[in-house]
This record gives sequence, structure tokens and C-alpha cells, in this order.
Amino acid sequence: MATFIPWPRRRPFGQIPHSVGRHIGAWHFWFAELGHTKKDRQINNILDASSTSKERQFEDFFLKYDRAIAGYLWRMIGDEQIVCELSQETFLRAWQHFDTISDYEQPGAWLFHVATNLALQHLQHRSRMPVPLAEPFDPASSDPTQRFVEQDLVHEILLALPPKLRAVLLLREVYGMSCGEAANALGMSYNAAKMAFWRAREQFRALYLRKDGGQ
Amino acid sequence: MEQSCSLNLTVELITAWQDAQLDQSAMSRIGAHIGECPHCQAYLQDFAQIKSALIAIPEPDLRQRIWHIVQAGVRYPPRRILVPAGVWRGAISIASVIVLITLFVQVLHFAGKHTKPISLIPTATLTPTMFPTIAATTIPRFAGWTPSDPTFATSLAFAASDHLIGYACGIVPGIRASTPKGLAFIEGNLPLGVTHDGGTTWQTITTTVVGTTCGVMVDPTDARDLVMDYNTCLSNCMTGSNMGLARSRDGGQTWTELSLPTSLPATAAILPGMMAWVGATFYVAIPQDASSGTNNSVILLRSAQTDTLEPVAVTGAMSSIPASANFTGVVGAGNSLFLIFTNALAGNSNEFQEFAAVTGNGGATWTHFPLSHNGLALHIVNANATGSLLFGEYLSPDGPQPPGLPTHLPLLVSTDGGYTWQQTPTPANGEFFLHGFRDTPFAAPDGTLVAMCHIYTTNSFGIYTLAPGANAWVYRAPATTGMLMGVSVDANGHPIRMWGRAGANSQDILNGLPGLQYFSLR
Repeated sequence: MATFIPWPRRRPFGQIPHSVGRHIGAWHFWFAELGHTKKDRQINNILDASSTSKERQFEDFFLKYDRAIAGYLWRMIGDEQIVCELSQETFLRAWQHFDTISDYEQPGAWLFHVATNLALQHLQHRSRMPVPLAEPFDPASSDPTQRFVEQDLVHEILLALPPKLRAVLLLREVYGMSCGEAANALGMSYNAAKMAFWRAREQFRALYLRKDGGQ
Repeated sequence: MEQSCSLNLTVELITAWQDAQLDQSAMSRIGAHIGECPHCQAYLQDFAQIKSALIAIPEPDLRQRIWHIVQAGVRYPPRRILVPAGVWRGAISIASVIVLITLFVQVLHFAGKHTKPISLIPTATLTPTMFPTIAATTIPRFAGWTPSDPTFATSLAFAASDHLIGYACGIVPGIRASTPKGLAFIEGNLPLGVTHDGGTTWQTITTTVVGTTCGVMVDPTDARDLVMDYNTCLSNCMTGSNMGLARSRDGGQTWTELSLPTSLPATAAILPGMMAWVGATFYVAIPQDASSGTNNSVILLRSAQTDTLEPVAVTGAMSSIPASANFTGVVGAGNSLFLIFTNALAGNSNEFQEFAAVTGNGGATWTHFPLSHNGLALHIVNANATGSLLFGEYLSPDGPQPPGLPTHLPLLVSTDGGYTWQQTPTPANGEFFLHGFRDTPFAAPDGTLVAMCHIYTTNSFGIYTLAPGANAWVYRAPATTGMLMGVSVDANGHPIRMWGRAGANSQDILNGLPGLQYFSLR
């Protein structure tokens, strides 16, 4: 029976003496970092010959839009880990509805709609999160990813805008959406999107001139 | 700027003009104006500059990281129950109701039939303000455990009767990463770290026990009474005769072998989590066939007053535990000894029903009951001294976790000896690793839980606490240990220090870098 064997008989590394395994505990956990080197493999090798044609189509779809979605979320949030998570969620949802989406004229718009929702939800949630009692330890020594960008003035200003204004500004200016398309992605009316865009432009410009002038 | 512009153009009009959303005459009028007005030109230039600045924001290359998870989701979609339409849907609904009623009746049946095996001590007055500060301290590697002889503590135990006395068991100097499949160890006299000041300073004893790796457990009633389980093989020795137990009654100076029965089958093994103290009696439960996934036969041995292992019969309604169940562990709690069995549900290799066989009188009589947590894989990892709290983990009910996807292992807590279980919340983006070590996560007598959680979004670790009745874990301190090993407690069962191995990552561990780290809970 190819059964899942609950701990302690689950032995992903059978060669390790059990009394070591006992004290080192979850081996898969220690080796997780080593395992991550696999991610450096070429994408095309990951979905191997046994992939279905739908999976291959989805891979093409992913490769077509992933940079745009990740770039959008990066500009929206500025935190690599969160960006990865939300991008993953966006594409996993896309995979769930892939039959429908692949028939759309602009599947990208659907992706942006989902990504926008996820980003806004995240930002709303984050603002409500309680502050941890202790500060996380020095991220430079423990976490290779710089959590929040600081080096880029433009990005900093962008992140200072209210989330919806940020979204509409990015969708229009960076991703070339019309006002109607941006309204769809944001789930707001045409007029609301139009006004949000005006406000975003004005606020960004004001902050930009102030910061730029101040330096 | 607007003041200096003769038409007083606003962002609305300029945007509308840019989007060509004005009527013909307005378009041309504004176009002509902009051609002449330096202020409006500057305004437009600002927008153009902002646009190109926004486009130019540098992006990290996250493609591989994102795809790593997405492809796993594509490959291993969450299980769905497909219900055909029409008559079948109705039939399945009716069948479900019948099954639910049957289960409910069964639960009532068990609840009525079995008395609780342990008398529960009421939890202390709740003091959610426990652990006002939690801070980490790193203890350097002990003298004698030097960088040129890399070794590290594999196991750590503090005496419940005297929290100042603790032991750490090490690997024989000379561990080396040898093969791509694992580690090879050098055989020799096993080192034992000893502290008499709560872990601040340590001395190393080179024991007479010869092996490659070891673990240590202390008699809760006597700080100088300890048992070491050890391995004598170099690699690939999960079962068979490459194992041993030794007991020392003088704080690790001299050791007596606890001889295992010669009649043990070759497939038997001393496995993680299968040893426990109940008072001054040491128990070891040995599965007859550790290599098989379906064998509940277990050989229970104990060492009480003498340094010999005597068999203990597990009697009673063993028939209520399915023959196909695995024996998965043994837990000592108060006066009770729990044997835990887990049985894969028919037709589903990833959901389990758990059973416990419990004795409260040294094995004279046994009670059997199912652990009621609806078919999720669970094992008890810790029970506090009062026996009033037990922990378990369960695996996600979504079936096998795709590689690369985070697993969610919420902590289950039972405060009634395992009859009922409650799921604690999971920290956002976190997962608990409950494998391996006694006493971690830990429950203070007041019910406050302390645990280490892996936060997968940052691949870092934190110490979290959950106050009694609280609905969220609170992040308290960063952990660089990655692995907790034990807790020292005072005479009232209050935790003092939570211990782990220090080392920032797996490579540190492989390099033999770490010492110990503790989290002060006072």
C-alpha cells in the first residue's frame, strides 16, 4: 500500500540513523533550503513530458503574463515575499478557471482584476494587523530579501499613495489600460476610476515635486 | 502653476485632452493653448516624467519563485469531491446523513462506555500575562566540542525535579557530510553535556557508552537518573540491532546497559517518540515491525527499580484498535501512559483515525478509546506534567502536500486526556513543526502555549505564545535555532527556559557550527 506513513515512520531520508532523525526532527525541513536550489531549473523542464496540453498552454500563459503581474504587484506592495504569494494566488486562480479565461479576448485583464483585488485585500488587512510585540531580528543577517524597498524614491512615493489610487495610476500609466479597463480591474465605476486617476496623478505629482525638490 | 495659466487648466481637462475624450472644438482649443502655454507644457512634462519613472521602477525577477508554487498547484490540484447531478446527488446526500448519524451514535457509544483514564487536575488560575519578556540567549559550543571536531547536541533534557540540572547528548566528534543521501557518523564514546546551573555553563563528560548518535531523557523524579538511547551504526540503520539503551543513576558518570530482549524480531526498532517516563519508571515501546506500515503489534518494556527491561502486557480491548493501525508513539503524562495508534481510513491513505490505549496504573489495566478528531493524521507530541493538556498535530485534509507548497500544521489541544480536541489558530503565513521533540510546543500550567513557528513567507522562525482563551498566536521573539529541543520547568511546572539548537540554517548544522540557544520565559 503506497500509504502516507505518519510520523515517526515517515522517513524521507531513510539513510539517516533514526536516533539522529529523532533529535534533528523534520529532515525535510533542514534540507528545505537545499531543495530550493531546484527552483533554478529551467521552467520548461519542470513540466515534463507527462504534462497535458492544457498544462503546457497554461505554462505559456504564465510566461506571457507573469512579469506584468509580478511587476504590478511589486509596484503596489514592494515586498518580495508578499508579491510572490499574491502572484502565485493569482495564477493558481487562473489555473482553476483556465478553461474560461483562455477564451477571453484579454485574459490579462482578468489577471489584473484578480491581482488588484488580492493586493487591495492584502493592504487593507495589513493596515489592520497588530504590531508584533518584539521587533523582528535584523533582516539583513537573517533574511536575504530586503522586505521593503527604500532605495527608490519613485517607488517610495508610489507606496505612500492610497492603495486604490496607486492601482489606478499603475494600471493606466504603466500597463497602458484605458480608463474603462482600469475601472473594470478595480471593480469601480467609470467615473470613479476617472476621478481616482486624476487624484492619483495630482497626489503623486505633489509628493514627487516636494521630495524631489527637497533633496 | 494653474494661477499663471490663462485657461486655468486642471488635471481633469489635461487628462481628458490626453485621452482625446473632449469634443472636437475643445480638443483643438486646448491643444492650441498647450502649444503656447509653458506652464501647461511643464505640467504635461511632469506627467510624462512620472509615467516613465513609474515604468522604470526596477522589478525583482520572481519568475522562478512564483512558478515553483504555481506549477505545483497545477500538478497537484486540491482534491475535489465530484458529485454527479440528479438522482445520484440525492442518494449521496441521504447516504451522507446516514453516515453522520452512525458516527454520532458511535461517539455517544464510546463516550458512555469508557471512563476517563486519568483524573484531571484543574488548570491554574489563568494568567495570560505570563512570559512578559521572551529573549534569546546563545550558549557557545561546550568546551571540548570544538570547531575542528564538529559535533552538536542531538538531544537535550532538563530534570523536572531540579530545573538547574540538564543534560545534552552529542554526536561523536567527526560527523561529516559524506554522501549525497545523508550523513555518515563516526563511532566512539558518546559525549554528554551536563549543566548544574540551568544551562548557563556546561561540562562535557565522555561516557563509556559507545555509539554514533544518542538521545537523553531524565527521570522526572530524580535529576541524576537518566536514560540514553543510542545508535551504533554509521548509516542506514533505522531498524534492527543497531540500537541500545543505557541508564545512569549518577548523573551520567557510569552507565549500565539496559539489555533488550534477544527475542526481538529483526524488524523491530527503537524509534523517535517511543520512550517515556512515568514517574521513576522508564518505558520504551518497540514496534514489532518498524518497516511495515500496517502493524499495531507493539512490545512494551519498562525499567523501574532495576536496570533491566521487563515486558509489560498491553491488555484489554486491543480488538477495538484495527489490526491495520500503525503504532505511532508513546506519551507519559502524570501517572498515565498513552500508546497511540493511527489507522488510515479505508480508501483514503491520507486521513486517519487515531486510537489511544491508556493505563493509569503501570499497565495493570488498559483503557482504549478513539481520539475524536475526524480523520486527520495526528500524533501526540507532548503532554504536560499534570496530564491535563495534550498536543497533537494534524496534516492538511487536502491530501498530499504538493512539493513546494507550504504545509499547514495547526496545533490541536486536548485538555481532557485526549477525548476532545480543539484546533488552535495558525499564525498568518506560518506553520508549526511539531516533529521530534518532547515538551515543544509547551503548555504552562495556566494553559498558556509556547511554540516555535516557521514563517514561510520569510523563511524565518519565531517564538509564539497563545494565551488561554485567546484567538490568535502572538509573535514574541525571533528564533535562529530552527529546532527546539526541550524546556526546563520549575517545581510547579512553570517553564523557565525553552531550549533549541543555535544555528541560522541547515548549513550551520551540517557544518557542526551550533551551540545551544534558549528562550528565557521568565
